Amino acid sequence: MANARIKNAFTIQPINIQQVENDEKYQRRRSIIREFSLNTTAHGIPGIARSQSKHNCLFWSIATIIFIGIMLYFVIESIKAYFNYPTQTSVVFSVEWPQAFPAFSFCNLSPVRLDKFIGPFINYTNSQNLTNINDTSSMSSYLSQFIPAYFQFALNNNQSTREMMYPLSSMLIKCTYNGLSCTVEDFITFVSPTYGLCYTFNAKVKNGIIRYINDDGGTGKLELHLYIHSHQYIDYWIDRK
Amino acid sequence: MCIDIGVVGQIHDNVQLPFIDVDGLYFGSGRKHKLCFSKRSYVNLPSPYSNCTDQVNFAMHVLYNNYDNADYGYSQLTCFTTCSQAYRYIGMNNLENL
Repeated sequence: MANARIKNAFTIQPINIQQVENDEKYQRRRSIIREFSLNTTAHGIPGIARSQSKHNCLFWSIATIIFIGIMLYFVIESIKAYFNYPTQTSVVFSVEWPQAFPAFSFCNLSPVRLDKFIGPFINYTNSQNLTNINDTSSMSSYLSQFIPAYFQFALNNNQSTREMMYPLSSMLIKCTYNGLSCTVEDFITFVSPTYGLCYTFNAKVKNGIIRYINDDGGTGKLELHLYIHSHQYIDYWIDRK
Repeated sequence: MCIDIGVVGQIHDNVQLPFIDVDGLYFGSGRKHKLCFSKRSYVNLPSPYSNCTDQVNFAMHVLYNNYDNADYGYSQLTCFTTCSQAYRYIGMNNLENL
């Protein structure tokens, strides 16, 4: 079949057909392997193929097997190391200047002020038939246990409790940053479920800048004098955290 | 009677949401308190080298809306907190849509 095809081919382009037919008898499986062994770029295999004596063949075979073994070992080690996804931790001590002044948040320990809180609270306990009292100025141990329930009630009925909390304007006696005075406007406000209204100085705000330690030639010193209205604290109500 | 009188405060990063209920320090009234800080930053590589992210997701944006116009960044604790709160309110099925 192959012969017929080759003859066919060489009738179109006639050269020495005899030559091709002679070479063809080497194109058996063994000779393909031999051909490969002699020509491959790996050094050991041509050494085996070329060898005339048994000793030479044995030497090249052993050497080739040993070095293929070593090569496989390192290749497999490398692949295993890759799939371990090793990480590296580098510790760097860097001098950061100027450094941003951190943010500072604070809240009054008492979440609400008695004078604004007690009225709606007593109304709530009376309306729930928990109490029947008219004195809307003082707290009792018995009453204090309903405080969490009241807050839950107020929240579920969209009653604002914000005006019962301590506004910053009433607490801030003095505020300076690096010797220059700061105001209520320099704080952002948020609500903590434990402490009521809280205030943050120097938080990053959208389209705003943060203060740096060396602002106005200072060393990064925020000074706050706060009035905490301890006479407005609610008796029997302690930080439940 | 009321035991604790004073303020509770916390130093934190400019882009970090304060967890003042957890991390806050107590400062008693009638005294002067001095606080110092030192800063340490950890830089983690993103995926696939670690499972870290700095993307502020929708639920965290909703939380941050309650902090005036603060521009807070990602925090794992905040993410877990918003996730557990959302779970309590809307359940597991709707959580996947967030």
